[in-house]
Amino acid sequence: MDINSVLLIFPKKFVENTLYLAVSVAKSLNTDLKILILEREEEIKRDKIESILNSENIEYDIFIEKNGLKSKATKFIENYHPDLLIIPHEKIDPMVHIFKHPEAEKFVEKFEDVSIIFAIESSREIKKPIIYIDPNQDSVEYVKRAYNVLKKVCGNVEFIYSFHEEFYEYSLSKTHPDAEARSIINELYEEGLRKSKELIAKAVGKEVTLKVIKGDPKKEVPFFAHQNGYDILSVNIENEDKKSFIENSQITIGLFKG
Amino acid sequence: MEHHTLFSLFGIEVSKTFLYWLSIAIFVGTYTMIILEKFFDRVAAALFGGALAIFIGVQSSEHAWEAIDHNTIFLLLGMMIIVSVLIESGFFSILSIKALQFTKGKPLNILLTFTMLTAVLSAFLDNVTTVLFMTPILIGITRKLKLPPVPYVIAIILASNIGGTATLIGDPPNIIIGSIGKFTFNDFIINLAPIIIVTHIIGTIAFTFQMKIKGQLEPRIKDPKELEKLISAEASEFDVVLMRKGLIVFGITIILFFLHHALHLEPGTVALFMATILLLWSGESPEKIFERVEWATLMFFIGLFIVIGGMESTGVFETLAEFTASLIKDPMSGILILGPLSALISGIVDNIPFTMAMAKVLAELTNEVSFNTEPLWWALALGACLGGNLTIIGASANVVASGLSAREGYPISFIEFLKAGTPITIVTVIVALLLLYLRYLIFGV
Repeated sequence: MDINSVLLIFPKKFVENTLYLAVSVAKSLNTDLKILILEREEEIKRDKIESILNSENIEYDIFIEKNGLKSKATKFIENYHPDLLIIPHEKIDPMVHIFKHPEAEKFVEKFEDVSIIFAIESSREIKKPIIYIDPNQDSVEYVKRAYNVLKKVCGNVEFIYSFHEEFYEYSLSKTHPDAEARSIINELYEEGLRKSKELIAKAVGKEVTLKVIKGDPKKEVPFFAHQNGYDILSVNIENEDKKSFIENSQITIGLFKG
Repeated sequence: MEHHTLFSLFGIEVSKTFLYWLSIAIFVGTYTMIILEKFFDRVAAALFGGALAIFIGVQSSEHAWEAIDHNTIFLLLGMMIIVSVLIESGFFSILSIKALQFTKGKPLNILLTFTMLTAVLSAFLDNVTTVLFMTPILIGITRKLKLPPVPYVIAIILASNIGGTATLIGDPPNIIIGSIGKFTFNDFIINLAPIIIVTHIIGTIAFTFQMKIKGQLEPRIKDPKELEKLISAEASEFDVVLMRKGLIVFGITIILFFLHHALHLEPGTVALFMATILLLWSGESPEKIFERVEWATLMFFIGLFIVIGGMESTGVFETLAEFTASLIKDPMSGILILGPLSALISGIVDNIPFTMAMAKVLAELTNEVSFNTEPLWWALALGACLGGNLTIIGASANVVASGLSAREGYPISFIEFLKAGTPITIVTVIVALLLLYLRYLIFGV
């Protein structure tokens, strides 16, 4: 489950912040860094990239391919089998996001067999991570992988669980009287909390901070993370609402394999 | 089927004239109860009036059912569902933050931006849709800035009724006039839009002045740094996927509104159909969405439609329309008679049945008289649409926006609306009719 290879892809342009972020991740994980640039015009920046990497004292390889995120990058990933991909993406205003679905986002959405850090361009490092836990969907492997990577990179790691109370309220109100529905909801809440703690305990093996909020996770968790100054939100790459988590997040998203 | 009244049970035969006056009495009684809102709930009063009309036998239950304007109810329900999904997605919260940043939190900027936007949107969208869209944003902003939301909500109600007058599709009375009077979209743009632009500007100046005098334009957060901090710190949760779905459906609905004549579909059918598509596509729980639907507002309309239907079936509107027509001797005096009278009646009763009755009378008048009746049609349009601003129940948009405002904790009383709406209605009706009059005076009928 260790991360032995990190691949940084610049789909359109070179982003200095993401390079520094990737260097810090690779160094923390004690691995070399491969960089794939998918825009020939960016070749002119090779010297700059090399000088940064040399000054950071890290093992690296740089590959430059013709523009083609889908074909070239997919082929490259298939041949190289990285354990972790890092891809920069611009922070998009939600109003603009409604009408815009960037290439990088589409690319990230289709992968499920490689962990990805989808880094906000303005982010130069990650220091305050939070891992989202869905006790009904997530596996011990996901929590372990996300925790191991983020622990090495950032040190302190926190977890978050969101109980979608409304969802149960509406479902149960059709079939149960109010008091009975409320009692079942409370039981479901306790059960979710217990399962989350058990999942974390199995994966991490020690006491950690678990934040508990209420509401639709795909909306509330990204908002909570952003509002509370976290700089990376980890989500299971197989989460059924992955697309929503990516689009609703204003910070870097870590998509870890289960 | 024979029509029975409660009186026939006791062997008392009642004349049509009696039912005629009874329908008026029920209407006046209902209206009084609506005005006396401290003692009676507005929705309960309207439903009571409607049920009473059926119970006594002013009209049969079949006729009462037919009197409910299904197009209006479907339109309201459909648009309320679509807007509810958009609210759930966080769209309005984001829009409210954008508006806050754009207006820099200044009350005058907020007032001018929102009234202008509402008037323009209302010209091309249904007024109800516009206020359903604008009210949550406006309440969100004013609440953040600690401003009293009610005068601002009233301002957009007034703007929506003024803006809606400019085009064939902007307000239901115009659709009726266009259909019966055989006027095109361009006829409305040429004849009414320039008048409405001037009327809107003057109306806005008058309302701004009124708010200024009452101190409602005074910023509550005086410290610029605090204001800047408030604006920049604003954030909201959102769901881009749901917003996208909601806006796609909303956009298609608007396109279908434009095409509804060609498609032979009523706007209500379009709205309800698109709302069901959104419910299916979004996967949102219908119970959650229905919680945001203004059921009380829909019930209020149903009650009011039945009360007015009673007057319609007993011939009250025909009498009113014929009386108005009997006063008209030539087009120029007709503008001065028909315009204010339409405004007054439309402000008191729903403007749809009145416009319908009056338009039929005008169509007959056109065949009978030798003068050009076109100025009378435009006077009717101006009076019926602008008159909707007179009272809180004068137009559908007023009822819907006040319902939304009440739900957010800011009820608008009948008197409060009357105080704010009446002066503006008087000013705008005078300005609009004067411009229409001058136009025909200068360029000839």
